[in-house]
Amino acid sequence: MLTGRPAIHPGHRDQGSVLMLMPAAVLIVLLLGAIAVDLTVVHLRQRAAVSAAASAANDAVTYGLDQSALRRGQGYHLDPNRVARAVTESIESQGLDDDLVSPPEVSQPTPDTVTVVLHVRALYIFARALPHGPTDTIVTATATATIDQR
Amino acid sequence: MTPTKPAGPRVVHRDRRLDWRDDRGQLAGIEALPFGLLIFVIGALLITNAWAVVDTKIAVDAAAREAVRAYVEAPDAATARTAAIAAADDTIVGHGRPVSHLTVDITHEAGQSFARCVRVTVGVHYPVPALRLPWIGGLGHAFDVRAHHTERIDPYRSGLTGTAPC
Repeated sequence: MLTGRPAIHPGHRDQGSVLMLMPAAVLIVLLLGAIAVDLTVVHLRQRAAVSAAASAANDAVTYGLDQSALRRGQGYHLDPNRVARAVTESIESQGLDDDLVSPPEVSQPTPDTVTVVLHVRALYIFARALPHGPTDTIVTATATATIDQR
Repeated sequence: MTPTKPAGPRVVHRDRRLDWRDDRGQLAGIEALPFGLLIFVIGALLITNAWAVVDTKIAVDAAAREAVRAYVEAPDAATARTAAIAAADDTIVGHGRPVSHLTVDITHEAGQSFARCVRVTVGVHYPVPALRLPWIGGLGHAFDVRAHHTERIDPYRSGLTGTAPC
């Protein structure tokens, strides 16, 4: 007898499946959003670290001048102690000293160049909520400044 | 002789009473649609607002950096302040934002005047609207995004009066 209803095959019915698909879709959206936010926080942290490193290198390459060597006619040379002090003061003024994993790495590839490398801790926001998930990551920022004598 | 009905379409009178318990025409899981729509709309607004904060943070960070660079390279205090504000404005405009809401604070270390060796901090504030819609703009005021950058006025460069005390 024809009743107008489609035949029902057990095992192939999808009635009510939307009720399960919606929470799954929402969960996926939230998960992707959380990953995006965490990666954005790391990216912003690295930008701040690069800016701080550039500022420190720029300060150090001028503040660190060894005046006595210059007056002796030995040219432009940097005093390592003054360079280190300039970098430390600059990092403190940027408010990054509490987030450094290790002290700033300061090197002088040439007598008139300063390179500053910072390793800064960036805390995740959402990944910390995961059991055994990562709580933070380390971002590295490198900046080099060279004096331009005029 | 009995009268005969004229030939024509047969009129069927339907029973128009509503059966409120009948769910014919309803989509399975229809309750998920309004809730799902609400969740996705609110989620989209949250993501948009979060990105607005990130975008503003990038803009004010760049503005603070450019402003402090312009400040420490200026020959005197008045020129330095003008150059710093102009640099911050240019940076914000470059990021596609109006400068009318921009606030620039310039402070010297320990309240010193403009001179060699003085450490200068430039802080930039920019408000983020509570709701940002495309083509409409921002509505409301959520909070200020802030960034600051610090540099030292070059101790030994030319163009400045006085000696370097540091």
